[in-house]
Amino acid sequence: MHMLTNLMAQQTIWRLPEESRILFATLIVLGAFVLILGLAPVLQTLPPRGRRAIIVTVTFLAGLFFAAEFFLPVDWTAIFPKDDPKRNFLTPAIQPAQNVLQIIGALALGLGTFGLVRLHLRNAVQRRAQWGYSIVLLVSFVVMATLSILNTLAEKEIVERGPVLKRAFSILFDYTLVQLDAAMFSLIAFYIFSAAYRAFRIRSIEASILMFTAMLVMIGVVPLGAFISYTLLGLPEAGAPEGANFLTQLEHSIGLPKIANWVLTQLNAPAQRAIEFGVGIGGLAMAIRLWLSLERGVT
Amino acid sequence: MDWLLEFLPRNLDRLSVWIGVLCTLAIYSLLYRENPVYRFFEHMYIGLAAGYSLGPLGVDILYRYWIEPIWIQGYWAWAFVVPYGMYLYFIFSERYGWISRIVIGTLIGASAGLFFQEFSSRYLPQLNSTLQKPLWVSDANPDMTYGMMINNILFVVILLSVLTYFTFSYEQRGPVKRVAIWGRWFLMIGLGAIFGNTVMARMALLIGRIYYLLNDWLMIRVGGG
Repeated sequence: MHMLTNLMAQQTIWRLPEESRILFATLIVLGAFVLILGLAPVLQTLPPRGRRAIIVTVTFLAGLFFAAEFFLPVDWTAIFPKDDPKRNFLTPAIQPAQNVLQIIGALALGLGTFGLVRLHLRNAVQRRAQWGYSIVLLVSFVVMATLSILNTLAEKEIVERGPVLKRAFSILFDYTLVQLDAAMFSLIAFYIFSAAYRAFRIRSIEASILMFTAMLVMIGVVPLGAFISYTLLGLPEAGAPEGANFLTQLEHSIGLPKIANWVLTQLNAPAQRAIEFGVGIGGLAMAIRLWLSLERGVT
Repeated sequence: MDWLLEFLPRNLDRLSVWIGVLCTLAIYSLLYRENPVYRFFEHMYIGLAAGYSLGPLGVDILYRYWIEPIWIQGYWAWAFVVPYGMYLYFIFSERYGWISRIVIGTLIGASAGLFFQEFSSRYLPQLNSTLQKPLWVSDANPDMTYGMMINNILFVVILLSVLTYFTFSYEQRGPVKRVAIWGRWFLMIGLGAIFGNTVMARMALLIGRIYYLLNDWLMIRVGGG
């Protein structure tokens, strides 16, 4: 027991020995796969109530870990001795826990990609309507995935970044994907005008306020606002001098760019903050419901 | 592999412009109507985007947080993380599908736990700064001007009236309803400002594309370029 405590204190129990590390690591990974995937048939024997209990417990423990790390006082020395007075005994485990979430998140990304590929592969194999586009998607996916993975490995100096990889990746990423990305998002500009037209057609006080503020901000933040205010109307561009009277101060602050800025910082900010408070309280309530598995759809 | 170089263009400058123009015009062809050229480039875009994400978001993370700690640093306990995460893929099985919910539960539980941290680090400082705004000029805040005072009062009035509008716990009537109506109007000012900003951001993207077509493709120098 004393030896085990010593080993844990030195952290040697968690690390494989330097010699034959790759062999041991490979064997342990294979063993982990066999063990955890082999557990699936065992889990399958559980009755529905037992299955739900497992999911609820795992969800609760995962949430409890992060909540406890945050809420527990740092002064916890009476029970768990620690080396740093600014953290409690759970803090050192936070970074590894977040890394675990990153890994699971990366696997979830693969899940989405797998779903996409499966759908289009089925379209192509069964020759459903417009299956040719599925072929286009699959070919561009396979080529780009290969180059992207090779490029990532080349960044880590695991494979060599040859001229073929460099040029082909550049053509597909810089000259195609980035351009398509920019074109696709700029397309929204046309639709946002159509949405604005529909929104502003509704005749009400709310729609009028919305339209007026939007127009003010749009004109105020572009050079047109400055041109109308300072060139056409001849309003002073600079701030009011020290000790100026109220009318002079007013004259120096009614340029469209200044009004737009005032609307954004003084009228928009509190309204946004109120929305954020609502979102925050709603999010907190939802977090508690999810953590305690009260949302039936999830568990 | 070098023989492949023969099939790839040597000078990428003009080719890149032509590819970019082709992509842009193909995507913009949707403005006329849905057509095969747009559909082709749309599917190519989805394929390229999905394929690209596997490198930096998949392989990079797995290498950094799983392969490196096990095979290079020798921390064997990490070996169990990926097999556990692989339970996610059971979602495609009718029989074993429920097992994927264990991993989904881990993600949801952790997100809920992390939200407590986010709430206190994001919303409580905002609440604190709102409550600390001085509402009148006094000796305690000698640097405050009357302009700042009016802005602070306006800030608190708008915040409280918008929060009143969002209070649905009881029926709003009388003075509360009047405050809520004002809150709705203030909310419209906020939404109008957000909408105006969004339009301008999208316009900036559109201007960028038009600039690219004129400047890089047609070589028409605009905007002092």
